[in-house]
Amino acid sequence: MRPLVIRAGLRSLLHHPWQLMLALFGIVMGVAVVTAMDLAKHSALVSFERAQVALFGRATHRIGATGGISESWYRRLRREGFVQSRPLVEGTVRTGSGKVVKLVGIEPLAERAFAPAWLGASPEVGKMVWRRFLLEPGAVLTSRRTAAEAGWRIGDQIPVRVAGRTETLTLIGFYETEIATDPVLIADIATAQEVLGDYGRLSAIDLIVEDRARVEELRRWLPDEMELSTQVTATDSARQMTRAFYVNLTALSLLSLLVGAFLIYNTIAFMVVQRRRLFAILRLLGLTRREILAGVLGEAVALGSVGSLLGVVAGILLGRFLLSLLARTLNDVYFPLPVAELDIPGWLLFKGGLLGLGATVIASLVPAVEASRTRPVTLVARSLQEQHSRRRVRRSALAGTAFLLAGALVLAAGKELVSGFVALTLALLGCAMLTPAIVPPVMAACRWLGFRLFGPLGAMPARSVTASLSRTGIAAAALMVAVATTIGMASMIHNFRDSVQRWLTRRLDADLYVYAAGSGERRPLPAALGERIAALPQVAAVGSVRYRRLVTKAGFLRINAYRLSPAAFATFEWVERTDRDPWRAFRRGEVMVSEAFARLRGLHAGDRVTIPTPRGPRTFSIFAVFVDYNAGRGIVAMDRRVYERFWRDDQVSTFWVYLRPGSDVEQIKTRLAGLSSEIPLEIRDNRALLQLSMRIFDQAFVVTGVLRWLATGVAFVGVFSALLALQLERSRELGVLRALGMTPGQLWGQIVAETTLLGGVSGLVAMPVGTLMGWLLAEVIDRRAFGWTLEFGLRSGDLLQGPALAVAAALAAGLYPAWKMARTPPAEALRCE
Amino acid sequence: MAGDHIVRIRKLEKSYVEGGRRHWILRDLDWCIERGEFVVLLGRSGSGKSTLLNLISGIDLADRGYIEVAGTDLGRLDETGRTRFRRRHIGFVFQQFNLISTLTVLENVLLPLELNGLLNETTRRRALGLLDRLGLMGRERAFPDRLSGGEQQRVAIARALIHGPALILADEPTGNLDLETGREVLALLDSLVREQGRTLVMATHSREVVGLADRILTIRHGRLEEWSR
Repeated sequence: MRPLVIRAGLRSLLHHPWQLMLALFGIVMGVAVVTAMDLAKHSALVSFERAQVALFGRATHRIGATGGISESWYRRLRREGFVQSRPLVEGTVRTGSGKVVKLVGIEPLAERAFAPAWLGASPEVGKMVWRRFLLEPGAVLTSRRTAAEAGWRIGDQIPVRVAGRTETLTLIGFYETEIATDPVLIADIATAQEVLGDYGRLSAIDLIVEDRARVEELRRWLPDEMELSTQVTATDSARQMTRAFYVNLTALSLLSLLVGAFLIYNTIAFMVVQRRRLFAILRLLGLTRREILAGVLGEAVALGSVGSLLGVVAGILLGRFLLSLLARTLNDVYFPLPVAELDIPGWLLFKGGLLGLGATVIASLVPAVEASRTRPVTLVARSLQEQHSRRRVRRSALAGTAFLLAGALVLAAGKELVSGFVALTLALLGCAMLTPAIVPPVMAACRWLGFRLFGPLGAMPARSVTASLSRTGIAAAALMVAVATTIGMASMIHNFRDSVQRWLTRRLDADLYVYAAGSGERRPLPAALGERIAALPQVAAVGSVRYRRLVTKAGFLRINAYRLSPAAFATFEWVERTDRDPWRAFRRGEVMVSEAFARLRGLHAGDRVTIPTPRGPRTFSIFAVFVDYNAGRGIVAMDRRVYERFWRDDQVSTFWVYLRPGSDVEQIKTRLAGLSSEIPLEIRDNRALLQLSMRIFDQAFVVTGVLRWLATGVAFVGVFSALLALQLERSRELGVLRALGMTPGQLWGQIVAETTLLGGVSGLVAMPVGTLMGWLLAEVIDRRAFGWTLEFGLRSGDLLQGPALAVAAALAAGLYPAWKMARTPPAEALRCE
Repeated sequence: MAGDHIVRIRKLEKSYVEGGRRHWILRDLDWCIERGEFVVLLGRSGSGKSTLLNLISGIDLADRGYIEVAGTDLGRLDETGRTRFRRRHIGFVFQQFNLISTLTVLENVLLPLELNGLLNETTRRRALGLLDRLGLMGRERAFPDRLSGGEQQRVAIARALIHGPALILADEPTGNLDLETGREVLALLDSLVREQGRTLVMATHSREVVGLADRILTIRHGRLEEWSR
């Protein structure tokens, strides 16, 4: 490219620094959101993995069981020759300040073989400390970091709350580790059992077994209720559990990038339109099309590089914030996550930067081609320019229709996530291309109305919007995309929340729910407790469910075994079912599967599913697919009698208690709590459980909400910049109006009316497009990633938010040019290029 | 003699379709311009003067016919070929000046040299000399919007001549100037073109220019009619 041509282009860009800034803002925000999300997701998993290594060291396998393992199994294992083993007790306690701290009980002598990171890096844990650790009741170790955060010093007495009791621990020493972990207190196994109330029970037994044959031997030897998993599966499990959740976040962060790309498109397209005369002169003087194309793309690459670089830096800052939110969500919904620190691998930054640069170049392609097609003859025949733009609007509408059709075809053809996202992008592009064609008829109506109400001056704003369609068309499309995105995201989140709330309200039909107190995987309750509950005079009926998690070749699987009355069974909603009577099929031994399970494995009602049972693999007929919004890889639900037959397990995870009318709920809660002396119970009524579930749901959507607000922020700036650019570009024309005698007040009215009209029409178009986006997002994220179907409805709040945002941004965008023009002498404005 | 003709036009036709109807701008036009001539094209607005200049410069395409400029058949060139040809062989002067607002006076004049790969210290000095000759010395660092109309048109003349094109096309070069300034600009253009032995084709309404031209032609109903003095 030639230096003088570059200089001409560059000066032209610098002539509008605010436009450059806004284009940069689009790139920076898009890249920042994607990079931040990537870093947060990556850091959460890395942190989880590091915590695994920090705590479990060289362990290759873990034996676990729902509700824990009897201590005797540890001794039996060692007798069987599994000497490289260690017992573990895990639980959580709450400190005086309300902070949740993990309490881990260990056997120091057994730990050595495992060399966990915390032990290896603890020179301060000397002999004397170990002696106190073993002999002194309530003695605990913690990391310097945890102690510093909590304000603990060696020798401090630390009161903790667990299952309604207060216990006192004594901090006797620090262990040092470079790995950031959750606040952890390490105690001798006996101390931990005492504090947690788990006498004689272990949470898990870790093993080092390298020989595969020994592993198989062990697997056969262990009873059915015990599960042998590899340490790799712990991380895999975390990955599998969070896959859909992460897909949701990725999709929404990519959507922010898409909005950012539209902002870039809008700015570059606008800069091309602004410089059409420059391009025409250059073409006239002998610059080829290819040289113009290369010039505009070169500018885009330069802009994209600077924006992406800044975006990556902003992404790191935003990533720290998102990680803190993400860690809370993962803790509440999926698995206990250590205090996560942002891990910043170079490849993720490179990926973010490359995405930003790619999006900028792709967004600039169409304007660059437009620029290269500038005909020098337009300099001579200026009216050709608007004629061409009208032709372009028609062509763009046709292309938009084609994009919409292509989107529909892609959506129908593919069932996977990628095709869903491609369809979403195509639909959004299609609608954006159609938007400029909608502007002239709407403006014709506004012109008529303006004339009727305010005379010729009233008709001017609408006429002006149509007259400069080459500019206003681009702005309208950008506005529409920005606003539709916020409507779509809000609509998807709210519809999802509504669906979950409806589902929970329907399913939580019992009056009270009884389960073991504690957090994480809860201990099961004996079946006999159900009989004691049923014997209470106020209790009308008792149902139950047993949750089991199985490891299968196809991944993790949850079994729910229900003891249900026909009325409770009727609370299930079907996505699809066979024509057999569901209740009879259920009682007869057929199973029903959750929607997520069916979708992930491509199963339907009427198909068969094979499940590993302690009595070998068993194949069950699926009589129905039921609606379920639980996070995870899906559920197979069966009648409790069938479960007991194959698993020989009579324990219960949760009892559902139905009360007689007029019963005193608080009194019954007290009586129920007294029914179990060995296992502390937690009893919640359905309203409290609904509130708790919705709180967890809201927590899960905190990050999504932040992404939505970020997209809304980008959208607002998009709307603002498009309209601001439009008005500032018309300085000369506005100068003519001032010179002709229009007062600053009248000019202000004209400008604000114009931006508001354009904002209004874009906001109106955004309402149906946003609804379509919301539906597509629900289809892409909820249905294809999570396997959930939502009941999709229109919410007036979400819909009206679009035009409100557009008009607010339009008003804001009109203020500065109006103020500027009112202060600029007409002669000065007339000199403006 | 073929070598004396810088422009040769045969059977040229150009029309536009507007409102579903075809309007003929140029019909069956035959014309030759000799090297070093100053030719004036007269005609009413919309008669096709600018269209003819556009066709000669290759920025617009004829419906039919043959155009040869400086020995090159424009019909045989593709878009890029025509652009490169225009860059090297044609200089433009317009009513609207069409200077690049983000380049200084000197940079505007240097641009054709740069596009043709001719920019060096010698040509740069030549550009400054030309600006001096046109009375613009001291304004070379100014941006076009700070110049008067006459000054802008003089910059446009310098830009049209600096790279030594064989053919200068001027479309209403005095249309935006007052009478006195218009005269000055015409005199400068005439003297520079003749000194450098270039060919000038000027479309205009102005009768002022008639006295300067070697040949005068009028476009009427799409055909050329030559005036005899």
